[in-house]
Amino acid sequence: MKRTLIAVAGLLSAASAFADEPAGRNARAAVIEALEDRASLPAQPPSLPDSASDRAREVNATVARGQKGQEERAAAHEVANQQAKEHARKLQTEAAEVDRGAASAARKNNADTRAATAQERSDAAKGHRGHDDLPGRPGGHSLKPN
Amino acid sequence: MRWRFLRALLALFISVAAWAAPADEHLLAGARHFRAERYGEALVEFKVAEQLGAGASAHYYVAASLQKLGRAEESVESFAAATSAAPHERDALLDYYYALACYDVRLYGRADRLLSSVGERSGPRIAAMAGKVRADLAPLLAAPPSPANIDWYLERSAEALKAGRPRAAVAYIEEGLSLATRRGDRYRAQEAAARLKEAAKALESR
Repeated sequence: MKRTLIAVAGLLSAASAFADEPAGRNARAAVIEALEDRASLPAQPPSLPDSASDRAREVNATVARGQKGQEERAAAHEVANQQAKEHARKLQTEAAEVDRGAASAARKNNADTRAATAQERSDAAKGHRGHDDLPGRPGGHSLKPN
Repeated sequence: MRWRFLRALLALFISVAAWAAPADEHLLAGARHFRAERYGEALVEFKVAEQLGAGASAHYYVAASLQKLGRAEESVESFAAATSAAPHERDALLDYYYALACYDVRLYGRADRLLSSVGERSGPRIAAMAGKVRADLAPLLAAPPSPANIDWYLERSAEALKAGRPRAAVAYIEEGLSLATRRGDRYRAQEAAARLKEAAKALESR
């Protein structure tokens, strides 16, 4: 019994190690390579921010627009609203895609596990039949240990 | 009996080994998208891998994708969460992406601190880029900040908190405090220190 438990524990840890390595290591290495490939410099030069200058820039832009200021502000407001809606829609789509991906992976895993269990049962049944055929063991369902 | 037992063990081995593989598949798909500059798709793949238990490294990949998508404040939030949850997974390249996210939301002090250690730990290309960004930041970090600069960071922290990004909020307060202590009059330094304490306590209790 003790030996069985040790064997099962050993096999489980070996299986999980087999699953993580080296496939896991390769996957991480591929991501790191991609990240390194696409690393870039910032697009804008740095500048310390302040709300007043941000506002001043906005006012200057509005004055420069003159009479059309109001209409353009309204248009800008509309664009900002649309962008906010678009951003919210993107976030929703992203979350839905993540859920779909995780669910499909879980379904695949369940199918694999079911297949493995069925295989195990079939093997066990075959083993059983083998014992039934043994001479001197009628019925073949003895609970006595071998 | 022994054969049956061995077959059962083999079936168990196969099912356990198959369990962890899908997360890696999504990491690989994410890597392909990232390399092809399809950062939205990469983000989705890394998030799926994260949900399937790819480990702490996937949090960093999600954060890097957000940086590339221009969602810098979310990226800072994700990087800060990842570094506090899994500091052992950090490396120079991930710190470089974290620094870029900080730079994008004008957390220049934090960006500079991250970049200062990147050079020694990374390859020549990343080290050169880190050096270039630090050189661009140096005059800005040496100049005396105005009260309006400090106001901006403290305002931003309140907005980040409202948006549900407490770690980014802490980062803004830290930046504001650091600027305030560089001024002779320590403009709003005491207030920033008090807000930082409060925000840090709120983060701990989450």
